[in-house]
Amino acid sequence: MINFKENAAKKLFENGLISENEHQKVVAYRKLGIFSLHNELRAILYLSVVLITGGIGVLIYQNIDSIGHQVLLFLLLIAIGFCFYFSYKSAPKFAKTYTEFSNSMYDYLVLLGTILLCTFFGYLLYQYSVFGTQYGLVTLVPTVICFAIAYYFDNKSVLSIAITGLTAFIGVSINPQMILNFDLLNPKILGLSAITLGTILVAWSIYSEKNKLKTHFNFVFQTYAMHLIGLACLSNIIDGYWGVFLLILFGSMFYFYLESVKQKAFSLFIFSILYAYIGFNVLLFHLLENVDFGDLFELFVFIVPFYFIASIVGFIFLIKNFKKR
Amino acid sequence: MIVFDKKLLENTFLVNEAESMANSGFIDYKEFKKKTANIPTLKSQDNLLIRIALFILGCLAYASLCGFVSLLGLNSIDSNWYIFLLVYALIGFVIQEFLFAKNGKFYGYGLDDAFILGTFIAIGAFASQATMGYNYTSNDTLIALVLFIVSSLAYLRYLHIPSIIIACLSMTFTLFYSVYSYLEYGQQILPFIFLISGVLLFYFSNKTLSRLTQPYYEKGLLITKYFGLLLSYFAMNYFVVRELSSSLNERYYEVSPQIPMSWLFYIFTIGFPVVYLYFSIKTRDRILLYVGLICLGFTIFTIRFYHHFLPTEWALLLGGILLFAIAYFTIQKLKNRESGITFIKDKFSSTNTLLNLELLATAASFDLKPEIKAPDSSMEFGGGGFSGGGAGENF
Repeated sequence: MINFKENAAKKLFENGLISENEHQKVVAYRKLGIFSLHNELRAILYLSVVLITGGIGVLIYQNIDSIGHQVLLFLLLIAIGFCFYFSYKSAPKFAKTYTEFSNSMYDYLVLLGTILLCTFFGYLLYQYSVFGTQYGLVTLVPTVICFAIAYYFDNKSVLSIAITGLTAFIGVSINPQMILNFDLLNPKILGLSAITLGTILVAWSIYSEKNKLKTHFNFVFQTYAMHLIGLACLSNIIDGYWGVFLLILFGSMFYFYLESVKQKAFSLFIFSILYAYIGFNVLLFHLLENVDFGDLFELFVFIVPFYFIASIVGFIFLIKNFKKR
Repeated sequence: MIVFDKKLLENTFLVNEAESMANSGFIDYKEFKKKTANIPTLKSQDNLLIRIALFILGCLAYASLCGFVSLLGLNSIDSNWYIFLLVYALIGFVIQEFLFAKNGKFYGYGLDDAFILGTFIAIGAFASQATMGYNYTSNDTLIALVLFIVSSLAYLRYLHIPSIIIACLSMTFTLFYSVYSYLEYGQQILPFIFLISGVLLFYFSNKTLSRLTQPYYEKGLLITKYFGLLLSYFAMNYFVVRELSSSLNERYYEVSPQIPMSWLFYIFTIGFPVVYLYFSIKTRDRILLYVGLICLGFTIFTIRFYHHFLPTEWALLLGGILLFAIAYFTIQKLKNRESGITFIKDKFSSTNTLLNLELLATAASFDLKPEIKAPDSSMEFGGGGFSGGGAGENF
């Protein structure tokens, strides 16, 4: 069997696209026969965290009356202590820049500990009503702790949990499934508070950019902010003050577009354009709503394909523009 | 057979290879950009998100074009309305062949995906309507066969990867329907026929791969090779055989009956993943490793489906701890190795996609609900742990 990759490297060298030195390096590297299980083992670790937390959640729920609250809380605390003791021991010293465990297994230990900690707090606060009826604090306390953990151990997964906690605090439930399901008319998305939180997240990312504080987190903040603002606007542009929300939508998506160009982030780029495009179509719909077509309806159907073709051309133009920069 | 210019195709492969070298740091990225700027290549979209967006836009354009054509022919629509489906297919084909492939030189661009797959749907729907009998049942064998032929031709001509996957699936369905409806005792020998065809598919793909002189068909053949392996596993999987046979019988509703020779199927169900995983490590074949892991997961599911020897929560907890331990000891063992099977990152494969997937999965499964919703239920707030939050639908 011909190894086409080696052939390609050879041809690249013959065509003068890579130098002899570079060619030799590639050949030597391929000769090592590296079969890296890095990603696979990380995936297995992640899966194990998911399984363990799921199992513990169900176990607690089922044995709540038979074991007793204090015992359960104590057992949870031991597990949490175990996770954080070992990760704290081998954690690198806190720094404002990107830090990494020497063994990426500890990332997952931190994640496990965090999820267990959230379970612990939820249990404690609910069962013993530490904060009385101040249910807001039930979500806020774990959120603050999650932020601290995320920043200390430099863990993006924990950061995403923390941001989800923040959104829950203002009364919004947001998760990726909603975007997949296009759950746009969900009344749960409270317009103004979601937009405010999104703005705060953006402001925080700008602040940390200036202070060089974990700048690699900014992408997560901005992704959350974009989806919060985008979904909040989309759920409010059908009726009510749709004009205002459309303006906010276009303005914020323009900002995220510029930001995506700056960060070279494709996902920000795509979604900012997608939200803006949906907003634009809704705007068209609002305008056409008041027009009486009468016999011109067939003309309208006639024009639709050209509209889509024009959108495709416009989209390709935007991509080319993006890639050029 | 390939529609694209050979020189352009070769350039595309070379530039892609050079790009992967640039991404993994063997050559300078700016240098690479400068040198490859003047080399003519096919236009392909390597970013999946953009490709999906273009695919959706392409689908909208194709659908509106079809609607437009139907409007023109509105007056001639009568009982033979399904002729229109053929017209749609023709539109899709003409645009793909002349506008996209020959003129635009699109190769995996997103738009071409929309028109190729749209053509398949139109042709499939036409076959279904044209073979419709008096009792409103269409000939499934024929539909699957037509789809198989069309998608294989599309792959051979446009080197379109989703087409070869559809070709594999439609081949399986053709085989299934023809054996099931036209052969006596067809149902009894179905698993063995699939096993044999899977092995044959694997064997011939492997053989053709070893004889290949040009890299154009390499990816498709790799897909058919691993599809053959998956097909043989699922053909002999105990769960699949038992449930399929009882649902084909249409006589049992609640519990499927035991099948004859169940020991044989159990041996295959357990044996296949072990063999796959062993050979994947031995031959250092990453895709085979994934195939083996998929099969292993399904084997665990199969066994747990019929034998409840542990309650779910304990199985989750112990399974998780076991997995963690396995991963931990493997990492400890591989940590210091520099070649062969290692834990260091391969320069040629990126880790970013996996990390982003992880973020998405965490956010998706760990769903903190707003506090206003649930004043009186311990299920709702303060951590996903209560409602088994860790185990979201992603797994």
